[in-house]
Amino acid sequence: MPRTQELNLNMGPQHPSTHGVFRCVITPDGETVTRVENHIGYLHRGIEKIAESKTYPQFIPYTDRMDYLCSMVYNQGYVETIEKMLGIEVPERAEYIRVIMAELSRIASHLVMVATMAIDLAGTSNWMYCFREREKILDLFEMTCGSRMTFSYMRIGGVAEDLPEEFIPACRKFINEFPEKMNEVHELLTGNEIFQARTKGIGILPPDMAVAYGVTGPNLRASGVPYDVRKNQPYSIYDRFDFKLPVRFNGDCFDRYLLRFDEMEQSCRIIEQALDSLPEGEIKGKVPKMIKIPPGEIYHQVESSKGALGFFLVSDGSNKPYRLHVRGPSFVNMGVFPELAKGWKIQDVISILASLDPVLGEVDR
Amino acid sequence: MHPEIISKLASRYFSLTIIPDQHTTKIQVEENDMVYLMEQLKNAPELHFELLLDITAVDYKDHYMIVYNLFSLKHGHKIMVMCRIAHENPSIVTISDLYPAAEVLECEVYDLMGIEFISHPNLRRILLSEDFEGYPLRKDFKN
Repeated sequence: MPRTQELNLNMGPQHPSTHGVFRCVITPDGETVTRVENHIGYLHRGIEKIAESKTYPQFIPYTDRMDYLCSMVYNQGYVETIEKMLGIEVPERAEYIRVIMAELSRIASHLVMVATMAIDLAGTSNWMYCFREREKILDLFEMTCGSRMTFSYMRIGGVAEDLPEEFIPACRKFINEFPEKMNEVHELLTGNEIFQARTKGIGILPPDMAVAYGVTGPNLRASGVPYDVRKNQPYSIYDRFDFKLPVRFNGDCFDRYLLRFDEMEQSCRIIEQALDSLPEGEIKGKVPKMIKIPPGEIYHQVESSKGALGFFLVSDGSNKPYRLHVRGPSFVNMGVFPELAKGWKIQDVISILASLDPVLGEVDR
Repeated sequence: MHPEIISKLASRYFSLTIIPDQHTTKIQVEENDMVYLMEQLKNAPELHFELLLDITAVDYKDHYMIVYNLFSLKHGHKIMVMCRIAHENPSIVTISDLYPAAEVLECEVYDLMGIEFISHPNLRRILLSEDFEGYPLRKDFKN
């Protein structure tokens, strides 16, 4: 008597569509996925342990290396945590520069998501279009802080350097041209029948399930839940800008993809307003040479391109953190992946994973 | 968050203490009351903390502190719940049946801090390899 046998299908860690080194073991029944098991940790560097042996300013470069696609926001989240604990006033100009940088970072990160999602579904030309735009953002970063990827641009109390003269015209040019460039992507990819067939109605994440699994960021908003730290618990100067909170309601891969475009549009609006009202003045506040934080704990959140990024800091009064914990949004978002992928076809797993947009540097920390 | 709501909650739990803090609402609860409190926090209409953001632990050398961060989408308030547990064979009951998000977060705490979560569906080393010895975030960890 022939019998059916259970089969385990290994995907990753070197699989091109896992965006780094993520591995999952899929148990299919025919083509349908019945079980998925996540295996992460290939990039684990023990950043939380490293933090305990570094002084507060020394830890800033490590925050870049968690989510290397959206590192400005990680810089911002960390320095704001310290500033909140110390009660340091950050000069207006520095706050505006931070917002501009964070939003540019968000656009760059979403561009990578859009590019890689297409490439995972075998639409290679879109990659070039998105990376051409991302390149312009990296150029803006390079002229400001000399680095294209791991910036360490934000400092406790302000930012490292003032904006160079050529930044503002270059940034305005980028913002003005950007919507048209995104139309190119829409023409190339969004309207594509094959792309739609592989993403529309695939991997539906219902809102209650998204909330239960702690999913945040664009993935949550694509399921119809309007939660964004920038709106719900405003930090920095986000309450001064007029921007919408894009929400979509289908919760499928296509909506998660489209929501990134809505977000980029809003980020452009924020940058535009910030450039218009950028005040003159200092870029760094008064910060003691030796930073010692009074004993206590704090949990501070910012909105990264992947979701709510939290820093939990415990201080014992010395110049090093007693304990620093990072709530990585991708790490928590990935928790829903096995549940979400269940019941879909193997090819859909690729779409679902791409639409969740994890960055493994931050999942593993 | 409205202080009245939390003091009303405190009156219901003998072991609940409110820790004054300028940044957030912070409460500390005894280990035995933790799960009941979490149920309250999630289900009581005036609290309605449906989003579990974070679970972590701190090694204070003579005890561990488990820290939960919750947010209510409905009311827009947040809370930090702390729970002190013993240093010898540290363990606490899981809340993953209440909040599925806790599943991976508790795995992380178990992996790096070595705290057992009782009746967790799949407690395993999530970031480090299975054969790794020790728990790196403990203060007495020696490489």
